[in-house]
Amino acid sequence: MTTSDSSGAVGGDKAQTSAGGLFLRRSSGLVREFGGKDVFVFNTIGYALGLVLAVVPLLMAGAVPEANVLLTVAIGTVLTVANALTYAYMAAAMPRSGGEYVYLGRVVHPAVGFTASWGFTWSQLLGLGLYASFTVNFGIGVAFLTLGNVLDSTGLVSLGEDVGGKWPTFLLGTVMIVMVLVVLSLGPRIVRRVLNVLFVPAIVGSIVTLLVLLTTSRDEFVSRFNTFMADRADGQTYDSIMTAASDAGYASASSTFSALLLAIPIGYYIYIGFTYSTYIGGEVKEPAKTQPRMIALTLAFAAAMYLVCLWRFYDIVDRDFVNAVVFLNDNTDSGAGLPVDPVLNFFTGIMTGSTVLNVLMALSFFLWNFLLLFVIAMVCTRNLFAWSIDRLLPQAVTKVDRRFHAPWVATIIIIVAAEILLALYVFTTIFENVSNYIAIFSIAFWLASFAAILLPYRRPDIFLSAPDYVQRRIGGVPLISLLGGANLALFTLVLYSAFKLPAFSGPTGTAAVIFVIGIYVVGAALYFVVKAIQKRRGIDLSMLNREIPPE
Amino acid sequence: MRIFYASDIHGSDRCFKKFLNAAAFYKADALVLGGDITGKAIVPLIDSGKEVRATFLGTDYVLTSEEEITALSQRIADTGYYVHRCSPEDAAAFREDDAALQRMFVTRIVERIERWMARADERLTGDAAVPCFINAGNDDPPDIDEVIDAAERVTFLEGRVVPMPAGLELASCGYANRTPWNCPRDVEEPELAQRLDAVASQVSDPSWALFNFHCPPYDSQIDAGPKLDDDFRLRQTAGGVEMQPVGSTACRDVIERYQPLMGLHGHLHESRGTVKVGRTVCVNPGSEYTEGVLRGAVIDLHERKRKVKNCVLTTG
Repeated sequence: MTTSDSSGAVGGDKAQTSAGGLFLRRSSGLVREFGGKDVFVFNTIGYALGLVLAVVPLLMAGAVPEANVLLTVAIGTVLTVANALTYAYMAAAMPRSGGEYVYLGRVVHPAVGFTASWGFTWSQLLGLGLYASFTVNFGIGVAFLTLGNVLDSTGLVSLGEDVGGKWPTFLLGTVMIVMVLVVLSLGPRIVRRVLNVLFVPAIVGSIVTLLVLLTTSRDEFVSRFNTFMADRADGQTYDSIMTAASDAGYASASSTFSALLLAIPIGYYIYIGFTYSTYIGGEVKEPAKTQPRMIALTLAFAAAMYLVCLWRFYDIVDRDFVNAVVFLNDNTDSGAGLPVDPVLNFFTGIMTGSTVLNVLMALSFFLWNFLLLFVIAMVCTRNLFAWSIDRLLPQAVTKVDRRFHAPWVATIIIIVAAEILLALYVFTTIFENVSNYIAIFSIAFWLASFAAILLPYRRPDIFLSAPDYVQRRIGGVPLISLLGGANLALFTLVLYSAFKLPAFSGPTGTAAVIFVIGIYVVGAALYFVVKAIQKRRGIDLSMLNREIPPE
Repeated sequence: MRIFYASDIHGSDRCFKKFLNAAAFYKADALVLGGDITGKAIVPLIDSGKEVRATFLGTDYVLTSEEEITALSQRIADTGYYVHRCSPEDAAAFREDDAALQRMFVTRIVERIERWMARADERLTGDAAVPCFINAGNDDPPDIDEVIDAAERVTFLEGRVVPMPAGLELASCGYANRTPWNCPRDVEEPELAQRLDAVASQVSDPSWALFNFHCPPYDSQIDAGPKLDDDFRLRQTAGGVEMQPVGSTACRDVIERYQPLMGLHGHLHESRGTVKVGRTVCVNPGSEYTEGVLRGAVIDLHERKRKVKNCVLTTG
C-alpha cells in the first residue's frame, strides 16, 4: 500500500489502464491521491494571505516609506518566481517531506541539511511565540477595536484596548497556544477538520475585503473616515491628519530607486509560506506535475490578490496618508489619533458600514493569524520527527498517543518552547535586541540555494532520474543550478535588508547578528556532538542518508 | 550481529541492486527483504514502425533510436514499472482483454524476479557472501514463489521459520488483512490469524526470533494508511491526508502473545518508524522505491544479552 505511487488509478478487482496510458494490475495503493487543490490550500494557509495583506501598509510605511508599494510587490513577485521554481524543481526531483532538511542533506551534506532545518525550525518556534502575541494584539485587539469603533460598541472597544497589555497578551497568547496544543493532541483527524472548517471563513473574509476595496471610491472613504473620526475618535479628519503630520516635520517624499531596492525583500516576505507544500512533498500526488503547477498557482493567486487589493487600497486611502499616520504615531506624543495601527483591515472596516461584512472581515483577520499557529506547529512537529527518526534527537520524541494518534512528546516540546519564547517576547526586551526573525529563516532558504546549484554535479543520479524539465539546460548550464543562483541572489538581498532595516525584520545590532549566527552554529555543533555520541553506540550517522551504490 | 532489512521495493531495479550491495555497505551479516517486491504497472511503448511513443510519469516521449528506448526502459525499471513494446493495435487490444493483460503482467513480473535471483546468485559470493532472505507480500502474485525458492543464494521465507546466524530464528508471513484492492495475498483477519499463528508456533524461542510479518500490528503507529472514500479517493483536508490505522489485529495479537525479539514489517510506505509492542521492537522502514531510494533498517543485535542494541532507519 502506498500514498506516493503516482499511477493515479482507482482500485478494483481487475487490471486497468490509467489516463496516462499505463497498464495497471490489481495491487494496493493505486488510488487517486490528493492533488493540486489541496496543495494550493496548504500553501495559502502557509503565507497567511489576510494577515499579510493587513500589515503590508504598516510595514512599508515604517520600513521604507519612500518606496513605491505596488512596484515593490511587483518586482518582489518576479524575483519570488526564482524561489518558487527552485523549490518546485527540487520538490519534483526529491519528492519527499522535509524541505531543506532533505534537499541539503542529500545533495550537500547531512550536517548542512540538519543545520538549515534546525535554524528554520527555530525561526518557526520564534514565530509561534511572535504570532501568538500577534494573534492577540492584531487578530483580537485590532479586530475588536475596529469592530467596536465601526459598530459603535464601547464594550468591544474596551475589550480591544484591554487585550493590548502585557499580561492580557501573555495570558491570551497562552490560551492560543494551549488551544493549538489541545487540538493537536486530539490527533490529525481533528486537526485537519479544524483547519478545514476555519479556512473557509478566513478566505471568505479576504474576498469580502477585496470586494469592499473594489466598490469604494476615494471620496466615499474620506467622507466615511471623517464621520468615523468625528463621532468616535479624537475628532481629526483626513486633511487635519495630513496637516498635523506636516506641522510635525513630515515631508511627503517621492519614490526613490534606492528605497525600492531596499524594500524589494518585503515584496518577497509577503509570500513566505507559499512553498510549504515542499515540507509535505511525500504526500503529494504526481509531485513532478503538481508541485510546480500549484506553487506557481499559489504565487499567481497571492500576487493577484496583493496587487489588486493594494492598488485599490492606495488609490483610495493614499500612500502619503498612511505614511503621515505612521510618522505621527512614531514621532509625536499624541500620534495620529487613530484608535488602532493603520492596518488595511481597519480602513476597510470604515469603508463599509455593514455589520455583517465587518464581522466577517474581523473574523477572517483573526483566523489568518490563528491558522498560522497550527501550520507553524505542524511544520515544527514534522521536523522534530524527522530528526528523531534519523537519531539526531532521542527516539522518545516520536512517541505517539495510541488512542488519539497524537505526537504528544513533540507537541509538548514545541508548546513549551513557544510559551517560553512568548514570555520572553512579552515581558523582556530580549526579542527587541536579538531576534531578527526574518534573518533567521532566510539563512535556511539561502543555504537551500546550494542544494539546487549543486544537485546536477553532486547527485547526478537524482538529477538524471528527475523529470525532463528539471534536467533542462540553458547554454549548457543546468536550469536548476541557474535557479539556485537566482535564489541565492534573492536571499542575499533579503538578508542584506534584514540586517539593514530594523523596521523590516527586527534588531540589526551586533547582539542580533551573534544570536542569528549562533542559532546556526549551535545547530551544526549539535549535529557533530550527536554524531560522536551515536558513533560510540555503534551508529554511524553519516551512513544513514548516504546512497548505496547500485552497481 | 548486524542485519539489514528493507521492504516494499515494488519491482524497482535500482532498489534491488542497492539491496544486494547493502551488506557490504552497512557491514551487515545478513540481508532480509520483506514483501511487495513486484511492480504495479506496465508502461506500453507504442511502436508505430517509425517511432516509439510512451508516457511516463506525466511526460510524453517520442523515441527514435534503440539507445533512447533502452535508456527510457531502464529508467522505467528503476522506478519499479515494466515496459511492453507493442503496436498501437496491440495496446488497444490489451485495454479490452483483462485476461491477456494479467498474463502479460505475470510474464513481466516473473522475468524480472528471475533476473534478480540470477544477479543475487552472481553477486552474493566470495567476500560478499552473506545469508539473504526474501519474502513475498500481499501485492505479489504466487507465481514468484518458486522462482525465489529456486535461487541458490537466497532463502525464500513464506510460511516458514528459517535459521539465521547466531541461532536467531526468522518466522515469516507475507499475507495481509484485506485491503480495498483485493490483492493476491489479501485474506480476512481470521485466516491471517491462522497463518500467523501457524508460523509463530514453530519458533523455538520467541525472545531470540524475528517475526517477519509483512503487515504491521494494528494501531501500532507504523500502520497508518490513508483513509479512502467509496471512490478510492484519499480523504484530503486542508491539513493533509487523513490517515487511520490499517494494520492487522491478528498480527498485533500474535506479537503480543509471543513477544518476539523483533517484528519486521512493511506494507505502509509512509508509516516509517520503530515502536515497541510490549517488549517487541517493531520496525517499518517505509519505502521510496519510485525514486530508486532504498529505505531500510540497520539492526544491531546483542547476541549475549539477546536484545536489540540499535535499530536505525536508513535512506540509501
